[in-house]
Parts: sequence; C-alpha cells; structure tokens
Amino acid sequence: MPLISLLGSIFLFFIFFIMVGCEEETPWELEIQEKTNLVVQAIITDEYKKQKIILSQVFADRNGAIPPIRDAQVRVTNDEEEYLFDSDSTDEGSYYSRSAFAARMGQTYRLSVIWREQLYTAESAMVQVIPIIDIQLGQNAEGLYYISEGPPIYSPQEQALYQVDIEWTDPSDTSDASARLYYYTLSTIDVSELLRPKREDVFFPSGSKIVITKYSLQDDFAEYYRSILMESSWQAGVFDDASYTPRGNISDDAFGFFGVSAVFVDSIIVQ
Amino acid sequence: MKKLPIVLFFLMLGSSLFGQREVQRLTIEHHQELSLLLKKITDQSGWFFSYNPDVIDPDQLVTLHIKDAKITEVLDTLSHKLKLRYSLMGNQVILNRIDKNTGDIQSEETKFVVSGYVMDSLTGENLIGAAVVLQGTTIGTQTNAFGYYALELPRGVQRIEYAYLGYQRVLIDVHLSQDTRVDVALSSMVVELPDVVIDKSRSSAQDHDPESMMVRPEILQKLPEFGGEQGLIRSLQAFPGIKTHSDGSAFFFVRGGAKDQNLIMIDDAPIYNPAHLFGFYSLVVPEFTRSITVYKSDIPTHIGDRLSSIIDVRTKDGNLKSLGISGGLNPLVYQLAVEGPIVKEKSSFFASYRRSNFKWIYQAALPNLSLFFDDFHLKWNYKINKNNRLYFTLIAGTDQLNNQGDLSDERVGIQWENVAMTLRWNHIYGPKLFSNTVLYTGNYQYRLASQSDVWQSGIGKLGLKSDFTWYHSPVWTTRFGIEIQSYFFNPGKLNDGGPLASIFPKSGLFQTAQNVLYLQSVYDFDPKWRLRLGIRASSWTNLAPASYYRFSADGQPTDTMTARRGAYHTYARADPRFSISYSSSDNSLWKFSAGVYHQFIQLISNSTSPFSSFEVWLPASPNIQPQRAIQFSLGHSYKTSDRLWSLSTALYYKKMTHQIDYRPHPKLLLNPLIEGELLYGSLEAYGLEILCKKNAGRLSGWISYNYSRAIRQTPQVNRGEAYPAFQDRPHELSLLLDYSWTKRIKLSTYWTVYTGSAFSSPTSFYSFNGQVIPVFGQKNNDRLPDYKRLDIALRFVLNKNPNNSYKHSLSISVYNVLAHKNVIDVNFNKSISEDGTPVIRSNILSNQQLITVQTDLIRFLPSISYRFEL
Repeated sequence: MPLISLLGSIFLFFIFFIMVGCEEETPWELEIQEKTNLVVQAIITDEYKKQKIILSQVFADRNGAIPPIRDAQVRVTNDEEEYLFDSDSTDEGSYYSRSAFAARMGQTYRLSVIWREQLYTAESAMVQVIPIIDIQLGQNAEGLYYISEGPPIYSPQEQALYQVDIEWTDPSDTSDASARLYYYTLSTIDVSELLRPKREDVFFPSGSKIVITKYSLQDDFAEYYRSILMESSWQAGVFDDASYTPRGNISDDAFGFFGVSAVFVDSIIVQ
Repeated sequence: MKKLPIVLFFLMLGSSLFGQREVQRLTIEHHQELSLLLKKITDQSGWFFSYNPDVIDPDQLVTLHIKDAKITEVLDTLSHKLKLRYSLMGNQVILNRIDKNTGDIQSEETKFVVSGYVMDSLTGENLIGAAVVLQGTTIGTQTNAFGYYALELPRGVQRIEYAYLGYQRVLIDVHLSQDTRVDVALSSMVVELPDVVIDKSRSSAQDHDPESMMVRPEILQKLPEFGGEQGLIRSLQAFPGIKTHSDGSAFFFVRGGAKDQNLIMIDDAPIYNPAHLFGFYSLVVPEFTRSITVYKSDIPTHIGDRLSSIIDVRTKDGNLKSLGISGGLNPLVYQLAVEGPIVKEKSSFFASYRRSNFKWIYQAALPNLSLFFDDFHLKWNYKINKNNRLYFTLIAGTDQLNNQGDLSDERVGIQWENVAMTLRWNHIYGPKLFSNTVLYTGNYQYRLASQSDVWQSGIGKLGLKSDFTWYHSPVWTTRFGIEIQSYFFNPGKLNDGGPLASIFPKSGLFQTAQNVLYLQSVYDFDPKWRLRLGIRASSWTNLAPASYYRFSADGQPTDTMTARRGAYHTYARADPRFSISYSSSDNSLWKFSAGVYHQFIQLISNSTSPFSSFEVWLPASPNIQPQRAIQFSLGHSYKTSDRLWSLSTALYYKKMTHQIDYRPHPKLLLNPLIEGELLYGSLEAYGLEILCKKNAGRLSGWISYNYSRAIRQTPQVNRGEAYPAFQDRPHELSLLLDYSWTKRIKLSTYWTVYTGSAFSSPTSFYSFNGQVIPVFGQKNNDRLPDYKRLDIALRFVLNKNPNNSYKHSLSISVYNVLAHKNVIDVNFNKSISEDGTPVIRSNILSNQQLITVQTDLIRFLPSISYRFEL
C-alpha cells in the first residue's frame, strides 16, 4: 500500500515542519464525573484454552489503578453449550472459564454478565483469519531493531487486530524486558488515520523474541476498534475529528466489547 | 405578473403618504430670507426643499402671507412670486428657475435620465459605489458593481455631484432636455497620506448599510501581514461577526454559521477552497481586488445559496491608459503583476503570477520533498461601444506536495486545484435598464497520486446568469434576473487503470441542475425610509445517471436506487427577503431585515482541524434536504457630521434547520454510503455586534466587540439536548490602530481576544486491551483557552519623492508578537518520550504516565516584504 504509507510519511514530515516546538504538556482540569459503568473486555478465541474475560469499571484517573469487578456472574453460551466463568482471586477483575474450550465457526456466542443485580448481554460470531502476517523490521544507528512497518492498515478482504509481544534481555543490566504493541487492518480509511500523530518507537536488541497474535475481527468488532483508535492512537494529530465515546456491543450503558475471533500466531527470533 | 403586487404595494404606500401631507393646512406670515421661509414650510408640512443656491438665492427677501392653505397652494404662490417652478419627488420639493426661453411651466414636470459610468481618471477603471447626488439634496444614487449609475431628474440645468472616497469631488451642470449620458472621470487626491481622506460626499444615509460591508483593498492592506502576505480571509476576521477557525486556517464562521455556509465569489464565479497550503495563504491576491462586499444578513436576492454570508469580490479591470508593473517579494512568496491597455481607452488587461518559495526551509532535512503553491490571475476587458462591454476573469491556483522516493518511479503526491472563470457582457439597453450577463465556472478538486493510482475528489459548477437593473426613478430601483446552474460532484474516485481501483470501494458521481429566478425592488418612499423587498426562487434537480441509497433510521442501507435518465429528485424553494431602513438624519440609519435562505450543497467533514484536507462536497439529494435559515437583524449606524467617527451596531437572530451532524465516528472517506453517516438537526445563533471606527487622521482604526452564540440540537446527538457548536465563541474584542508616524512611515497594530472554541473533553476513562479510552459526557462540554493575538507592522515608503514613477516600500510585520499560545487542540492520550517530545504510547506494558498535551501553531512569526510599483 505505497500510497497510504507514503502519504502518511509526507504528512508527518510536513506537520512536523509546521508544528515543531508547538506541542507541549499542559495542566488541564477535567470535569470528571464519578461513574460506575461496567467495562467488558472479552475476546473468545478458537484456541483451545481456558478463555479469559476482564471486567472493570470506569475510572477518573487515567494513570491510576483500574477498578476491578470481582463479584459478577459471567457466562458464555451458544446454541449447544454453556460456559461458566469464575473470578480469579490472584488476578482481580479476570474471569476464566471453568473448562477449556475453543470457539467454533458458524456459532453465535452470547455473553451475559450479572453485576449489581443488572444483566448485561452481548453476542458475537467468529470470522476466519487469513494466516499471513507481514511486519518489517528496521535497525537504528545503535544496531537496535524496531518495527519499521506494521501490517497493512487497509484491506477490503479482511479486518484483523495484531497483538505483538516482544521479549528481550536488556544488554545493559541483563534484566528481562518486554513490550506489547497493537496493530490493525481495517476495511475503512480515515483522514485522522492517514495523518495520525507520531507513535512511540520501541527498540529491542538482536535475539529478541517476537510473538504476533493475529485476531480476526468481525465488522462490528472492527468498527469498535476503529472508534478506539480514533480516540487514542489516531487522536492528537492536526486533522482530528470530533470526539465520541467508543461504546462497543454490551447492553445497558456498559462499555467494551464481547468478540469471538479466530487466531493465527507467528513467532520470530530477531537476528 | 409577479411584479404587480410589489408595484401596487409601493404605489399604495407612496400615495398614502403623499395624501396625508397634502391635506395638511399651512399658515405662514413671513418677511425674511427665502431660506428661513422654506424651513418654516418644512417644519409645518414635512416637505423638504432642494434647490441649487447658485441659481436660486437663498438670502433673497421674501414676503408671504398665507392662512390655512394646502401645500400645493403655498408652492403655487411661492413659485409665481419668485418666478420659480417646482416639482415633487418623494417628499422633496425641487425648485428651479423658469426657463426664460421656453417659459413652459408644465414642461418642468418632464423628467429625464442622466446615466453613465464613473471611473478613475488615471487608470480608466470604473469605480464601484461612487456617490452621484443632485447637489444640495439627498436625491442620488450609487454606481453599481460595474461603475454604472442612472438618475432620473427633472428637465433643466441640474448640478450633479460625483464623489468617491479618496477622490476629488466633481460638480457637473447637466442641461437635461433629453436622456443624457455623462461618463465622469474622478481624480484621486494627490496626498501623501491617503488615510486623511474622509468621505464627505453627501450620499444618502441610506447608503451606509449597517448589515453589509464594502471593503476596499486599501483597508485590508492596513492590517499586518502574515508570512509576508495579506490574506483575504484573515483580514476579514478583523470585522465584526466574522471569525476564522484559528491560526493558519482558511475556514471561517459568520454569525454562528458553519464553515461551509459562506460563499466567496470572484466576479460571480464561486471559489470552493479559497486557500493555499491548507489555509495559511489566501488564493485571492489583494492586489487583484477592487472591492469586497461582505453580506451577513439582508443578502440581496441576486446572490444566494448560502446560509451565513456571501463575500462578493470584484476584481480590477486593468489600466486602460498606461502600462503598469507591480510586485512583491518576501522570503516565502514572490509575485509579479502587469496591467495596461491593449487598445488605449478601449481594452485592457491585468495579469498576476505568484509562487511560493519554501524549498530553502526544508531542503536539507527533506531533500525528496517538493512543496509549493502558485496562482495566476487574469482579467481582460473590452469596450465594444458605449453600451456594450466584455470582461474575462480567470483565477487558477495549485498546491502541490510531492515526495520523490529512492526509485525514480516511486513518486507520490497530493495536488489541490482551484479554477474560476467568468465571461461577462455588460449591456445598457437604455439609460434606465442595465444588464449584466455572465457565463462562469468554478471548480475545485484535489488528487492523491501514487505511481499509476490517482484518487480524486472535487466539485464543479457551470452557470449562466442574466441580471437586469431597472432604474425606475431616483427612489425606485428593481433588480431581476435568471440564473441556470449545473453542478458536478465527485465525492472521491480512483482512476480505473490503477491497481488500487479494484480494492477501494467506488463512490458515485452526482450531477445536479439549479434554476433561479429573482426579483428585488428598493424603494425610498421618502428620504428617511427605504424599503427593500425581494424573492429568490430556486429549483434544485438531481440528475441521472446516478445510484443512491435509502437508509434506515440507524443509517443502514435498505435499498439501492438507480436512475438511468432524466431527473430523479427535485426541490423547489422560495426565499423571501425584506428590509426596511429609517434614517433620522444624514448621520443615522436604523435597519430591520428578515430573510429566508436555502443552501443546496454541503461540505461533509467532521474534522475539528483548522486545515482543509480531504473534505467531500455533497449535493442536496433524496436523503439530504436543503439547509434552511431564517434570520432577523436589527442594525444601526451612526456617523458624526464630519464623518470622522462612526458607530454601527447589529442585533441578530438566526434559526437554521436541516443542519448536518454526524453519527459517532462517521466514515466519510471513500465511503459510497456516506449519506448514511449523516444526521440532521438545527442550529440557533444570536448575537450583538458593535463597531466603532475613526475613519481618518494620523491615528485611525476601529474597535469592535461581539457577543454571539451558536447552539446546535440534533435528536440523536447528546441525548437530544442542545449543545454549543464548535464555533460558539460568546465574546470577541478587536482593535485595529493605524498610525502615520511620518509621511513615509506607518505603524499598524491589530489586537484581538476571543473565547475559545467548544470541544469535548473526557469526563472519565476506561481500559480496553491495555489502552486508556476516554468517556465523554455532554458534547462540547469544555472550551479551548481564550485566543489572544497582537500583530504589528511597520511600513516604510522607500522613495522620497511620492511623484516618482517607481514607488517601492518595505514592510516588517510580526504576527502574534506576544507569542501567545493560541491552542487549536487539546489531547489526553500522549506520553513524554525519551527525547522529551509528546508521543502516542505504543507499548501498553510501559508505565509511562499519560499527560495532557496542547497544540498551538504560530507563536511568533516575523516577516519582511518588499513591494514595488512602476
């Protein structure tokens, strides 16, 4: 996709030229409203494992602790089975299925969460994942590697989320280090995406292990993910759109998403 | 037939007023000067007298004894006694001596038309808005947009005064025994400080309309420059009610309207993107303009199709008498203009070319980048004969941003193009009927190119307009006409041959036709009262071939419709407009106006960015109803008797419906279903504008204050509750001072402060996949910090002798001299990187703190420019 990637580069250069020195930290008093809305992070995959769902609440301090929800009743069903989830006391807010299972194509999965006597529901179905991952690595002057080009941001054939886990040993103090980055492929194009702001580079040495997990995204999950990007990674350029809350597919004013994804995993040792 | 009710209305109104005055009974005992006698009659009857004091001696002693008589009896007695004749016009009594040659008392009732052009004696250029007044009276008119005037006056010798700001007044005695053509050339005043010129012409107070502004380029040139250039839009923001989006932006808001509700017309051709370089520079070169009229309310019916403002720019014709060269140079832009006669006194041209020069800034860091803009302005005119004249105008502007990759064929880029053209024919059918027929086109498109892939979007318009002005009498003018327009919309399309064409979805192209009929009469039913009444009727038709969609309430497509031929949808709309003004004296004018406006095209953009980028224009269609506004405005303007000071105020209320809003996170780029992303609501705007000006002197300038609100309401947005629009900026204060230090050194300062724009800030957050997601409460619950800016400019006239044929000057300007951080954007999702710059956090396992970051654009921008004229 030379057009899109190069356009992005041109604009980043150009905006940098205009903007240099004009972006700075500022104290800002937000009109915080104390809310207790439920937040669901639930991606059931086609991997056979104990599936995980995270429940939390809305919070006021964006750098503070995320308030977990420990006392909810969580279950996932399809037309044939029911999977109950239990809270994990060692990992607050996380709920694991009592038994391992893998999501299947052609099934519609339904989530129900009962919290504070309120029932929250959502449903989702899985789409195929295309088992191709294309990530380019670059090398800086110090010989450290970085991801120079992620997967294509646009494809009419598939929509996907890429979770990139990188582990390495820091050569200066031999401590272990890790990073988790997300990339995406969507079937939509946005101005704020093309002209997105500069993103932090993560550098890692030769020998690092990269595990890339590609999740297929159904249309509504991709739309939700796009809305998240518009309010996070694509926000803060000079071509921003008006802001809206990314809501997701959970009922009754809850936030977050319940999705079912097919997964493809690839590993790389950097050398 | 459509005119009949209006004519009847005027006749009834006029006869009613006359009748009231005629029945008044007067009693006069007088043995003093004539002037005092006439004042007595005026005091008792309300009739004013107009006469030439060089012909009728106001100091002559007159004895008159009349008891309980009608005004006509008084006038008969007086005219018999003094061998005068009188005629009635409005509530004016015009006195003349009896023509001894004819002795025909009845003949003075016959009226003739004096008409012609008023022009600059040096260049032959016609002057717009020049006052043409019967001396000693308020009977008069103004030249139209082409310098033409027509004035009906009684038979006899009439002394007519021609006046224009900055020009010497001319008095001409015209012996009217038939319709007479008088073309007048005015000489500009030979003064070194043009700012000391005051408009002392005795034009009617009715001509100082508080609701529209006619701005001459010299006024804009008083404002400090930005990057070495005067910008049309940036300059206009100094006037009340007009607000630019922010620094470096070509978007502007007028009286609370949206950014697409303003139309800039160059000689009748529309300009859809008036900017270069995302908005930093204006497309229109100020040197090319002759007059700029800004309509914010009471927009005349011969122009329209926008809800908030029309900016009507008239361009220079070119010097008919001698060749002239002018230009400018600054570190970023250079420009050269040439004008002169092709056939002396008959045909002339004006041509200007401007190009940016940015490469030296970025060459070292970005050697493969090519960024520039250029534009070309051309005007040609030809006087076929005294009743026919042709004009041609062309404006073409291009912006290019290219990147040449390492491989020779690896080239991508973006190109923006504006082209506007008009071919005009002015024809005088008779002294009372002036016509202006214009064929015009306005086109804007942008292209993204990567090797063989080209994606382009644009809008184009082709129109033919025939406009007529009928000067019934000095107190009654009617303008009417017809306009046929064709629009072409390309919301975004990839070329068929490129490899990406099969990947991206195809958006449809749209064609529409608009036919407009309009009529407007301006009637002065006495020198104090003016009524303006008009209607603009439009039909808007969507034309096949086209595919369009039907949508459910939640924006999902439910049906695809294909129209193969003919029209598939039509809207018919009528815009009545009305205003009435009252001048309590020569210095004071009150005006109330009410009008309905419709807009059939819209800019689809949910961006809060100050810069133009990849917006899409869409027509009114089966899914998008025409936008509508109704506006009421009450204005007052006051000038001191010496015209040195003026004060104008305006109160307005505007209700707009079918206003475009958007679903959350709409998909507006490369989306064939884009209409499904739109929502429709209303916008309510109201405010108060105050402008106080000192028009002349070594220190001149103005101060203005605006209070304005713009409140939106859309059922599906903000839970249906009203919320402030982005452009809702309640308070704005501006001050412009222009000081002539010496004859050759001038200092200008411009200071402005206004409330920051409304935007949405988070009221809480949540976490998903390790990312912090904002939760918003009420829409536009927060505001950017107040905007403050002080600009200064120092201008040096370099030639010591002002009569030198080579004139040159140097300007040094500083934009935002106090380096105030005028914030355009606030974000809550960045972290500080190792090198100290804010970046988007990509490693969600890192424990970097999220911070709030603000962006401002131009803290301090000095510029120097050199201008010359030969």
